[in-house]
Amino acid sequence: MDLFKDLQDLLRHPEIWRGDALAQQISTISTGFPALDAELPGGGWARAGLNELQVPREGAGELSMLLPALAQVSREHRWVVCVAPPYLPYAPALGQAGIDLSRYMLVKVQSLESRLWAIEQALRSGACGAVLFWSQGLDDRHLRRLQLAAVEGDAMGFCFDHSPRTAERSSPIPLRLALQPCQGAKLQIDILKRRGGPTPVRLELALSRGNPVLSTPLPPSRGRVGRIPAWSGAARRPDHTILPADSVLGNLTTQGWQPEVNPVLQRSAARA
Amino acid sequence: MLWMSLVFPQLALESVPGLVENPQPWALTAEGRVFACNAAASRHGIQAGHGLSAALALAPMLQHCRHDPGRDQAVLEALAEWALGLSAEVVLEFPFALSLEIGGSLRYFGGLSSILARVETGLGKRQHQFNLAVAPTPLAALWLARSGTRGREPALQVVLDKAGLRPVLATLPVSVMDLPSDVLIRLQGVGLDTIGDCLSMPNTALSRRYGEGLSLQLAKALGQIPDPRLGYQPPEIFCREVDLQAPVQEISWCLPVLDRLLPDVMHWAARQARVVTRVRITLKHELHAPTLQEVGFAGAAQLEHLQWVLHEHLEKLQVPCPIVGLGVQILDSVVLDQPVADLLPGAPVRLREGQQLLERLRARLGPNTVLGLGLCDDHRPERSWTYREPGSGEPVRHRKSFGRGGAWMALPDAGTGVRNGPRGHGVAGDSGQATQKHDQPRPLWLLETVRDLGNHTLPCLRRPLRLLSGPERIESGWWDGSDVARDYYIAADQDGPQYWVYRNCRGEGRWFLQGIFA
Repeated sequence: MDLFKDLQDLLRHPEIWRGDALAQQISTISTGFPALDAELPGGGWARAGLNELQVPREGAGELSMLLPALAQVSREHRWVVCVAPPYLPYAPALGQAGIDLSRYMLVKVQSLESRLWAIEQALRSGACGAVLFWSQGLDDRHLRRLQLAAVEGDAMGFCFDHSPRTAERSSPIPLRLALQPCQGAKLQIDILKRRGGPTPVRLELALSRGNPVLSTPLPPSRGRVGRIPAWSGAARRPDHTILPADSVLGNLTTQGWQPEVNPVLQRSAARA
Repeated sequence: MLWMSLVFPQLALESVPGLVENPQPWALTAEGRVFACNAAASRHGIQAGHGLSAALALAPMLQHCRHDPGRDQAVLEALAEWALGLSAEVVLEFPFALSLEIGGSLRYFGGLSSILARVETGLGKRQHQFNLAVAPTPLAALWLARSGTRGREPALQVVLDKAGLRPVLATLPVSVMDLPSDVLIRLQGVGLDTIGDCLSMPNTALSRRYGEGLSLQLAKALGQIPDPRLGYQPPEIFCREVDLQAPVQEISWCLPVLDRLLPDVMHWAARQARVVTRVRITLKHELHAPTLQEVGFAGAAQLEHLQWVLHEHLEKLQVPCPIVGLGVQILDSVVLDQPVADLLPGAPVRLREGQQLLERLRARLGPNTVLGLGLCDDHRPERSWTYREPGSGEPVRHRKSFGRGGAWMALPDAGTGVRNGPRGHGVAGDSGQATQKHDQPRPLWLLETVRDLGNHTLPCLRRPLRLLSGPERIESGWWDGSDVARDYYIAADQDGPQYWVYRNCRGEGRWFLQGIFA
């Protein structure tokens, strides 16, 4: 017992900083995926602050992953603002995911200056629960400013980053995730940076096109990196590859190819 | 009854914007004489009452303009409007004073000191110099205020009971009374310099020599006879105009003038328990029709917000010629509805902030840049949604399943909801009342224009895509000329992304990419 008391005294020393203390204080909103919640500080997306989602290209499931949180935000009568999206947000799908469309705001701006301004206004206003924006053209200075605005306005900012090799760059954003689609409508997530916990951590979420149904954390044996035991010293980085940043539309080309038999198509042809 | 009088010794100067603090000597003239002059002119030795030529001799660079009593009255009325926030009865004491009955307001504001503090901050914001006095009768209060010092510090004299009134009034000079100038001269001629001197005279003798007016005023001031007053009635509409001191070409130079009017706008609205929803700004030009700018608000409840949005709109305006005046008119307002407090703490309702954000974004980025989304009853994906006013009251029903909505349950055969086939091969064109189905997955991104993916057996995006599920037949729109018949599939690329593609059922059966499952 003396040892325990000594330890308690030692931990009370002002120069000792405990990582988990910070993580528990923040107010969060559940991601909708228990496996992901377990890994994020405070058990979900921080209600105030930026989150970075690195996606090699659109369509990895980066939006589906946010839907439970966005639905929750709109149920709280707070706005979900989407600033300069690359495509049209499709209203029926948003409604299907439980997002109250009367709390959804779309800002169509072109220039970097207006975009930045709109993002900052939205984050700072206090009316928005979540602000979605895309990182092209933004640098660290901008992001730091936006982070401050988000904290001030009590808003979640989601920054989608499609540029290559961002993982190596430093960033003022407190939570950084790298997303990678994999077969079977699954999404592989690498937590590159978080508060009060070791990184990197890799997990996999199962998304059902537009609607998340279940989440399965990757068993440690299968993952290349897996969950690193807490405080195990130097953390290894995942050696995941990030594809060059190509927008889907940018590289869409129709090429000649050898016809192949597709079971779904055959079935439909037979029915017809 | 307790009356407060506010005397504005500099009102004539203050009613012309930018004149008081102007470093150049300025004077207002009336009938060839200096009526009032600013501090810079006083430093040159100019005083009210000097002939204009004498003043110009003292300061050759003196600039002057005509004194306009109408302008003073407009400013005094604006002040009366503000004073209505402190008292229900406000009397205009022309030309430069206001009387307020504050006996009834003491309890509400929590005492005299609190009212005085409000007066100080309110008039400080409007940059008016004032003298203040409180007395049991309006006339006594006015005289006390008039006798106040004319320095920078506001004079403040308070007499709370009628018994104490007589000795205080006795010390005042006779010039504070409203008397014809010849009566004043005659009074001073016989050595009656103070009100006390007059009071010591027999009343009948005073009336016989100097008219009924003098003894009546004295009796009213002492509260011996009643002194009924007619209170100021504010106009039902708000419309105010200010002339600029000199024509300006840049709109940004008018903005400080506008900012001085806006507190009055807010005050007018607050007094009527309304919020402003539409404002017209008029920029007047010489020899040109005025430039008008109308700005709508969802409800401008805060001064900073109103100011910010108006500035953004005005800064974008182009004016054809220099601006000589500026006007603000409230075109529309709505009754203020108090924000609905939430039952549980910690979840404040953010409706107003949302509207403010919307107005700010629109003011800067343009009206069509900020949009909301809504659903339409149509099967064709490109027509199943629409832009809406963000946060508009229009309810957007989420028909996730028909089983849940109470209304749908109650009206199973109403004909409005056409339940589609079991596997959802939605053919709803026949009824003309297509109902959106939501049990099929829909992509989160929609391409603004569909992309051709060739007419092979499989859709081709760089390489052939794998079809994961489908088809879902959407056939609709024969009645409005954009007839479609499509088989929708979900297709996947090798590295994961899933696309929403369709094949035209008619013609050569080309593939198109319409959405992305993000």
